[in-house]
Amino acid sequence: MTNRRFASLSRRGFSGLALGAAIAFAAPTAQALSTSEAEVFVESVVADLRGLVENGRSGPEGAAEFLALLETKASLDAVGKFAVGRNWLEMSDAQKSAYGAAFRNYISKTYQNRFGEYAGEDIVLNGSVDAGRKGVLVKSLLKRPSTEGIVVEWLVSDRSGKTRLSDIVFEGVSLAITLREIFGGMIEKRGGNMDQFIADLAASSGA
Amino acid sequence: MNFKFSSKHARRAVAAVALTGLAACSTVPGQPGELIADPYIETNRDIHAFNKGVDTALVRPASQVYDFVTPALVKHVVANGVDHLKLPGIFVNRILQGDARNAGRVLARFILNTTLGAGGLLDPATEFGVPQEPTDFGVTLAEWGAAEGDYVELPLLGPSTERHAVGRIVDFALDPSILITVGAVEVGTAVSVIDTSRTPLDIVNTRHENAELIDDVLYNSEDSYVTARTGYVQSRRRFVSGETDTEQLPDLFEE
Repeated sequence: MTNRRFASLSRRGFSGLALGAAIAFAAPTAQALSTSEAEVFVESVVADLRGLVENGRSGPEGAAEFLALLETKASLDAVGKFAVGRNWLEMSDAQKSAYGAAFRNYISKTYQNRFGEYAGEDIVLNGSVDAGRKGVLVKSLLKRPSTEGIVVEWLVSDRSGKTRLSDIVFEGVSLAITLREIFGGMIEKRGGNMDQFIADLAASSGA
Repeated sequence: MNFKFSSKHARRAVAAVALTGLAACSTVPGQPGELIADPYIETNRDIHAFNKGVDTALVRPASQVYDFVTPALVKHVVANGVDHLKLPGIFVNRILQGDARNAGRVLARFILNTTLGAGGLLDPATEFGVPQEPTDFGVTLAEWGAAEGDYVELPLLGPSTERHAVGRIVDFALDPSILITVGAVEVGTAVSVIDTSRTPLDIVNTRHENAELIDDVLYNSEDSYVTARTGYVQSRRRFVSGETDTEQLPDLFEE
């Protein structure tokens, strides 16, 4: 088959061919997320966030809405697990479940405030890079008046089975890594007492 | 697929920590998965407490007074002027990095703003497509292959890595204005006044421009030491590499 003939195949024909090849070679069927799929996904997340920010509800109601959005768009369980690092391995099921709720309380209150500060500012997507097994990193620029803007990058993965955000990176500062550092410190300060850490996280009104 | 992305935006870490900098405490050095080794944490924490005290007592009030009494136009001009005086040092570093193209851009910016920009008080160069693109000797060292080193917090200068700390010292010596500072060249009183006032102006201007971020990190976090360390290390790495390194991204589904 020449390249020209290959290129002239219809899109449908091409995917049929790819599928056939996949079966023929018994290759893994999980198709990695494409950069364009990831961009479309981030576009929708940005639109949802914008809607939320413009809505401008503050307090518990706004936090609940924000959490509901994260619940459907982000791998919250995986981020939470990542943020406690190795401690996860020693946590009981009861602790894991209590932590899941406390973690959600903490991030919804914290990031609701932070994102609220960016109300009315424009985000434009500008390309993406394949980050291998970690997913696709979609790049965007948050335009701010009188500055050159803030580079915001969105790590998108479908490894959980669904297309979800894994991380948001602000000018190189990863939200997931920052949470891990902070939680690591909090746990350390409490002498490794996970129950105390979880209780404090649940009681937190955000930072 | 689209790999088009210019990494040459100004990379002040401003929003970065403002969005992610939160309550925090310490991590034990040497723990797997931690961001950076921090073997001098006890000393670092003492210096951090001192730096925070200096901010509370001096730098923050000074920047607030500066903000309050200074007309917006003057603040704008000061910010331009401070940037302009950094260009010779940036130029030297671009040369040392073997980056002739960007060295040329720095030179073009310097000439444009010195002439059309009233000695650097205005910034027409940005309109001509030559914005301020900072670099420093810490970056030069990284390009030469020097390792990042451990985390250190420096008195008055704040969060740093060992490599960045060396870079700061060399940057001070590399800056052509050192010749004025040490009196090696004779200049008029006006130039001498500008030379001695640029550092305090830079500090006050930087503190003012990043007021929200710095206030959040220092005063609205549970543990400002760890918050500052986390934000600094990540944004510095991005500054050095020019863009987010996918190697540094978290792997949430790693077993």
